[in-house]
Amino acid sequence: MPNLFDILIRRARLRGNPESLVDIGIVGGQILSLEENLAADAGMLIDAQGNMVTGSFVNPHLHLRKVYTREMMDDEALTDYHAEGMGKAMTTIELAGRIKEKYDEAWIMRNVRKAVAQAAIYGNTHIRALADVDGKARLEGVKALIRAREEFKGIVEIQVCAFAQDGWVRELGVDKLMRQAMEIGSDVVAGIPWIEYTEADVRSRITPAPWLCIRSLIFRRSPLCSSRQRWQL
Amino acid sequence: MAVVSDPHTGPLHARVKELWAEGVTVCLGQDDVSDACYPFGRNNMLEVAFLAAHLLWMTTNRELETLYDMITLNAAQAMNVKDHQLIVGASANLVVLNAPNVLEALREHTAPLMSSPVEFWLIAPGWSLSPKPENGNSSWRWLICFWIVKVFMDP
Repeated sequence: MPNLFDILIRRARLRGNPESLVDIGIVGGQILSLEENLAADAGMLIDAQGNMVTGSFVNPHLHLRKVYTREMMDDEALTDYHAEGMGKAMTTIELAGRIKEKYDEAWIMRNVRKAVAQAAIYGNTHIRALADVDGKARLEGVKALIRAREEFKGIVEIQVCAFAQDGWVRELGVDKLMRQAMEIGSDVVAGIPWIEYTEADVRSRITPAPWLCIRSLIFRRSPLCSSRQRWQL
Repeated sequence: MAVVSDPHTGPLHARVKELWAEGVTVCLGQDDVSDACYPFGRNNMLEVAFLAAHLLWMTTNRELETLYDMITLNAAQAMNVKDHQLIVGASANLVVLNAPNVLEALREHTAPLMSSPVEFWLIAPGWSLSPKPENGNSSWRWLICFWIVKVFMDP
């Protein structure tokens, strides 16, 4: 056990152990010691004063590209989205689509930074962030979020998720855009199955894993475009 | 497989309690921050869990602990983030809460006293960190503010 930690958190209360206070010793971003009254020094000493210390917060679903766009919309969209049984959710998606026609890099990045900075303040260190990919937004959303991912590296880890919000098969050209989104570095892809016209359309975007492996051998590329990518429906 | 639910942003959402009872990894997401679908949101996951406690009627101590898992461990699992736990050997992605237990943390859902993506400190070499507890809080807040200003001024 080292006697000099990068960071030492003293008097931390851990979940499931309300009676005792422990010290947490950290070196190189890794937890190395977890015990009461650690006899050690540290570059940075934090006194938790008996407060609870836990793993940081993780947000696995955020439409980061759309944050603070509400000011640009009317109440019509919101009423429809929350209508009985969300039967009119489709109308909202169409209305929200109008915002995309006003997309401009300058105000989008400002909004994205504001939202991610706020996440950091609230202890949220990991975000899976969705960017719409469709005929209107094209790849602009994905590019903006990739930029944010690089800017916030080490502070808030962002997984960029290319999301076919208006349908993957339903809208012509989206399939190609989704593939480009993967090539330029999105980490995850997402679809919205109920928006497609038929069940067959939905299934057509899912390739059985064995075929992906065979294809990757034939075409000498990874099963998905990159090993980092994960599918999310 | 994991299910992410956002019960605060719409009336139609996953049946979290049933899925959880069946052993499915269930977690919560912020979903929206001030857009067509939802007027509020500030990426405060304690607030998301607080709202879910009401919407899903999860109010026993055990259920509150589960809600807390749904914004930490389970959510990390859903995102394929490895070893997101407070154990020896794991990455030190931690929060020092402003509360002694889960109930108080959810009740107040205030910002943590400190959140430590440890690299955050490492990317700020030369910045004078004040390690003393009495002004430690203000120093980290100052650092984050400084950093936000830096990002906003230099896009």
